[in-house]
Amino acid sequence: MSITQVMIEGTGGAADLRTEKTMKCVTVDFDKCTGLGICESLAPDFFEVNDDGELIVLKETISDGELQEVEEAVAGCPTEALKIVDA
Amino acid sequence: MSQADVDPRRLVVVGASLAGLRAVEAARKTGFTGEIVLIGAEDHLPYDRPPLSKAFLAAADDSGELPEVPWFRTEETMREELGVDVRLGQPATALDTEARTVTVGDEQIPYDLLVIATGAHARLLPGAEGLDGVHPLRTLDDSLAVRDKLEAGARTVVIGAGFIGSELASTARKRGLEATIVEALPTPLVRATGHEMGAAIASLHELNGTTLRCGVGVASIEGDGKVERVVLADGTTIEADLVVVGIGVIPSVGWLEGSGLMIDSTIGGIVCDENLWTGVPGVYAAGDVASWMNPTLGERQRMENWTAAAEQGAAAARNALDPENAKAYGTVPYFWSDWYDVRIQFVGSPDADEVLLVDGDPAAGGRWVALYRRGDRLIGALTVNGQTEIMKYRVQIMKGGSWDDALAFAEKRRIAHAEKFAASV
Repeated sequence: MSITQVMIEGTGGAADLRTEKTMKCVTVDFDKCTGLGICESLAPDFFEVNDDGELIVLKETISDGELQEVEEAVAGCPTEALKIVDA
Repeated sequence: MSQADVDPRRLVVVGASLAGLRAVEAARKTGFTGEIVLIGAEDHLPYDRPPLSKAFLAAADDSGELPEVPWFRTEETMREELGVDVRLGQPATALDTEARTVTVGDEQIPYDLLVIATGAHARLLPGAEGLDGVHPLRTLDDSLAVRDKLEAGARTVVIGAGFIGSELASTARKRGLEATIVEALPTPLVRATGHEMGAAIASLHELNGTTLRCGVGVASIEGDGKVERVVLADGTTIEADLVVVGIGVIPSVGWLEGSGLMIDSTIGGIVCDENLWTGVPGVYAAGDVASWMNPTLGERQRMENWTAAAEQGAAAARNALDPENAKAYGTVPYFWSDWYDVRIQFVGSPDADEVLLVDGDPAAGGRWVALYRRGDRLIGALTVNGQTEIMKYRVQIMKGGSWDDALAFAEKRRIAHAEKFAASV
């Protein structure tokens, strides 16, 4: 769970500071994924390739402390199959 | 954004393939607001290379469509979202590190920060110039030309039994075409996987109906305007409509002559430190063209794979923009290759004291796993159809895991796999 401070422009031009909770999740596009497994080596708590060469997502929700490793997994995917989205 | 917020520095990236693109994207991701110029020798926007010897060469699908070009980003994304001045179609020809300029055509392009990602170009076979149907396989244009020939049902001869040539032969076989591979060395893939495993992997060709001739050189490639046959050093003649030359690549450093950058005389490429810095102020290198000290394995390496190009491109740009907080780029190298219906994966270094097959049997086909030992440490792992195994070893190598632990782990996995297989029969 991460807490993001969101600036929202008010109608009078004044900024309204609001605190919003956003949960980040990782998603896989299985049409693109070919099970190369680089994600598993960078974020083994999240991904594992099974015996049939298919990617299994072990967990989707990303905590603050895990964000960097999942970002590396996303960047490391040769098929651009991974994305981090707000839940 | 007001003018005062714009970073006054200009980042120039030479080389518009994966490493260059990732350098640009990483620079923007760190919040860099300055000007970025991306220089590409080819006419094309950045595209993904691994499919060029695999999926892109496949036959048309049921609807008659050939595979699409694997572009990375649209021109609009490059210009508008990434804010890059993309200059395509002309290579950089000189670097002046005193004046801080890169020469492209008649123009001197000034830089404050430079990432060199010019990659490598295919090694050509002397004497085969000018014959239609003889191609290297490195660029999109190469791949398009090769695909045309495959579409026409070409009898295919591949020179060089490396990964690219092997993937091409595999694709030709999948299309039902005759394919022969000729390799000058007695054993293929030695540099990438070591002696024992090179021979074992090469056996996949015979299992799949591709003729592999090792230890024999090419005497000549003959034809009248277009290629007709390949003559080997032992006198054998192989009829051919397509000859693909896959005898390796040469780092593209020729344009740097006189620049003062140091070129690695052993493994080629621009000599860099752990941070991908060339030692010249503001100048970094990434991808196939970079020889760098890999702190994770404790050896100087130059990679020719997707993962290194992607990661080094990003790391070089980040370090160039913020040299005081530069981070060393360390990795357990990884590459994969798809042949027939087999996936070959390698992690680590093949420079080992011992290579041990820990699961499966290459002669029987199917799945197998080999581990590489250096001293008392696990230094590499090779799997064939071992997608569920390979990355577990990559993690172990990253952590500096011991050989004994790796062997114990392998044995546990082997037993578990055997039990699972027995239960499923």
